[in-house]
Parts: sequence; structure tokens; C-alpha cells
Amino acid sequence: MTGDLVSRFVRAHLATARIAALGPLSDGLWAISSFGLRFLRVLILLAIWPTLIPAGSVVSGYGLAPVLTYSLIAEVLSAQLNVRTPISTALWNGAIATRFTWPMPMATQYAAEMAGEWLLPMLAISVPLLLLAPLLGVDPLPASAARVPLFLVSLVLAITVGVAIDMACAVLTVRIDLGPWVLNAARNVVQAICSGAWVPLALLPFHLGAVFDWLPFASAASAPLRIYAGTGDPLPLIALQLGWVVVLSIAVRAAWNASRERVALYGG
Amino acid sequence: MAAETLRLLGAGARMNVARILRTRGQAIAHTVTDFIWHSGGMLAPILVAVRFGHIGPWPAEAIVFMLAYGTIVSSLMDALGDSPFSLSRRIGRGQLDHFLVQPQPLWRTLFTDGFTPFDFWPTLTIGIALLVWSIGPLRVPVTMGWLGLLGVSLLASIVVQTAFLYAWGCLAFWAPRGAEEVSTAASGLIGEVSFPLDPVPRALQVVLVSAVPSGLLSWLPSRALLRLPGTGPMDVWLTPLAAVVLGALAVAVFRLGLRRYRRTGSRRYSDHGHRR
Repeated sequence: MTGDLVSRFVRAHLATARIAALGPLSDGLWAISSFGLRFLRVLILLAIWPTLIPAGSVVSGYGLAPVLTYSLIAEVLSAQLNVRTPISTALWNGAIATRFTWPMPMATQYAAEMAGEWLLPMLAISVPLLLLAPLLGVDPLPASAARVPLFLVSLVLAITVGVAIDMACAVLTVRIDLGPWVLNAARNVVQAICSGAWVPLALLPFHLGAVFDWLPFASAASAPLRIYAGTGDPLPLIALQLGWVVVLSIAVRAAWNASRERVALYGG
Repeated sequence: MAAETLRLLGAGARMNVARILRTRGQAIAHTVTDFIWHSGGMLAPILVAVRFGHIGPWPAEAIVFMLAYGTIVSSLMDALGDSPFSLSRRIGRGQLDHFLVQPQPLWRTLFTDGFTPFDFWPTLTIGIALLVWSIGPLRVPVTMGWLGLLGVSLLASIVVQTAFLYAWGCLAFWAPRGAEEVSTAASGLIGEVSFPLDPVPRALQVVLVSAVPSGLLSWLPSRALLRLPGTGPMDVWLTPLAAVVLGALAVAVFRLGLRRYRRTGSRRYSDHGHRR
């Protein structure tokens, strides 16, 4: 009986992910029109780093090769390191009303949908970027083979922290009755600076990186990237990520339970 | 004609004030988040410039000037309304009909729709303040002629962005469902490049001042106004020239699309009124 329940639970989430993966293609290939930005962004960053960190020099623990690898992998995994579930949009357009009737927890059904939405960008951007990396003068491989399993553990924890942050933002949207795009725009900026997904935190001025390293945003992005690029000690980074997973899971669940009665839907 | 346009802009400004006064809490939240969004977009490149003292041949103060210039352009674009940013959605969902039935020319409706001059004043203010601050250490000779060129460049950058968004948004005339959100994609494509592009390979530079003219929104005009190394005497006119060319192209594409729309109308709604 328990096995049957688990099987149905897994199948439900896989079906949700499959629908989310294939949905954008129902209108043709227009869905990939927004991906050009990511190519441009990484090409510009890869061109700028050599002017800041000349080959052979090391700045705050980063030589040119690790920082290029860091930037490339940050772009390859940008969806995973800046997690966005569709819950905020669903709160705004009213689609969340029917989701309350689904036989799946709210957080995991949106997480499954989010994972499905990763497929197309992964095929259209991430894989080509990895394949083109040598042509762009970047070594896409991790600092050492021993770091790969630790990187994968850290990446899973980073995604978990990211989902918790996203849920926290959804709660905030409910509490202050603000359009999700407004909060998203501000969140984009905060995460871009504080998470290290854009520029390694150690390369920020005024020792800001030393402070940001302890925030959950860094656990959602900087930690796995540092493990991959070989610029951070894996065990303390993973321990901090685990801590944030526990704290945020408890806090966000409590906040959502206290706020769900305030969800007001008007459609849109 | 001008009087009626000004009257509509005035009505937009009045409604903007009324909305702010009636929803003070939300208005403050919107203003703060808008401010974080726009000023934060400046902050990241400035932090890198401060850390390293330069980006390519650009000293930190020149980068502040460039980002302030870009912030002024984006806040003015936002204040002028959201027609360019939502054109494909309007066309794709058949909402262009709402504009066409109004008893006034379509251009005036598009120009005056969503005019919100008071929503973005904090961002505009910080843009102007940083621009003024950066001029001092850069020792720019500020004359009436230079200020005139600054004004022309700002206007040209706004026209470039508008033309680019219109040209892409018009795709929805031909693919109303598939290209419904292409304006959003185009907006992301052009608006988020905030680094000096000097270190970028020449081929990519050409792309970024033509097909995706992000470089014309702050980098190229700032470089010309500051007369940084490698700038030619005619560079200051490149952005206005591009504005004329891209503007003409956008008008031509929009007219073509509108001609098609007049024949086909919106196909997004079934006869029963439901959206497909």
C-alpha cells in the first residue's frame, strides 16, 4: 500500500515535469527566442575577465582559468542556481486555486514543474555552451575528479535552498499583496549581487564577499560553483548549505501555513 | 494635434498621481522595488569597477557615467509607458483592437498609453545625480554644445530601444500565439548588458550595436561623450544615426504588420469568445 502511494507520488511529479518540459514547444520554436540573452551575457563576461585578471596573476584566490570556468558553469547552470518556481505567477493569475485540489504538496508540484521547464534551456543553451567552451578559451572541466561527487551534492542542496527562497518570496507576495514581477525584479538584483552566480563573491570590493558568503543566497549558487572551480573548501560549504536547508525549510513552511489563508485570487 | 497629445499625457500624469495617493502603501512598495531593480542593475558593474579600478580602458568614474546614462534612458522609457514592452502581447491577444476603436490616431494612443511620469522619479534622480557626480573627476568640458549632444544622445538611445522593441514585437502580427511574449524576450535581450564593450571581440561589438543594439543604450554614446581613447570625432553621431535607421525600419515593419492585421484580425478568439 505504501509502495503504491510512493509510486503514484513519483508518477504524478514526473508527469507534471514532462508537461512543463514539452508545453513551451506547443507554439513552435518561439520559446527559444529568449535564450539569446544568455549567450550574449556569457560571451561578454568571458571577454571582460582577461582585462581584469591577466593570465598568470591571482586575485583573491582566483586566477584567470578558474574565473572563466566559474563564469561559464554559472551560465550553464543558471536556471538551477537561480531557482524560480511558477508559484508566484500562479498566485497572481489565479492558477494556484486549482493547484490546491491536486493530490500533491504545493511545494513539490511547483518544484516538479520547474524541473520540467529546465529541459529546453538545457538543450538549447547549456549543452551547446559546454561543447563550445574550448572554442571560447575556457576549460569546462572541474578542478579535480574528486570534486565531482561533492559538487553534485552541493548542487542538489543549492537547488533546495533556492526553492525555499522562492517559496519565501511567494509568502512575501501574499503578505504584502505585491505583483510578483515587482518583487522578482528586486530579487533578481539582490541575488545577482549576493549569490555569486554572476561574479565570484571574493572579487567584490570592501570585503562584501566575506559577509555574503554566509547568506542563503551564496548557499544557493556560490557554494557549488566554488567547489567546481576549486576555489572553496567543499566540506564547510556543504555544511553551511545543509544548515540553511534545515532553517529555511522550517521557517518557510511555518510562514506559508500562517499566510495561506490570506491568498486572494482575482484571476488575470 | 499637439494640444490633444499633451492633454492625454496630462491625463496620464493625473491618473498616476491619483493612483499613488490612493494606494500609498503599495505605491511605496512599488517605488522601492523599482528603485532596487534599476539602481541594483548599476551596482554590480560598479562594484567590479571599484574592486579593479577599471574595466578595460574605462576608469571607475567613466563606468559610473555610463551606467547613470543607461539608468536615465531606462527610467525615461518606463515613464513613457509600457506600449513598447507589451506590444507583442497586445497584438497576440487581439488587444490591439482596443486601440483601433479609439477615436484618435493609433500613434497617439501608443505614445500616450501608460504614461506614468511619477513612478520612476527616484531612479531618474539617482541616474542624474550619478551622471553629474561622475563628470567632475572625469574633467569633461561641460559646454552648452556638450549638453546639447548629451540630450540628443539620450533621445536617440530612447528611440533605438523603442524601435528595437517595436520591430521585434511586430512578429506577433505573423505569429500571434507563438510570438506573444517576444517583446518580453527582446526587452531582456537589449536591456541587461551593462558592461563597457571595448574588450569584447569586434564581431560581437557589431552585433551589439546593430542586431541587438544594447551598446547604443549606454556604452557607445557614453564613450563618445567622454571622448575616451579610441573614439573618433564622428562617433557622437553614431547613436542618433542608428536611431533614424532603426526607427524607419520599425515604422516600416509595423505598417506591414498592421496591413496584415487589417486583413486577418485577431485569430486568438473563437467565435464563442474564448481565447485559443
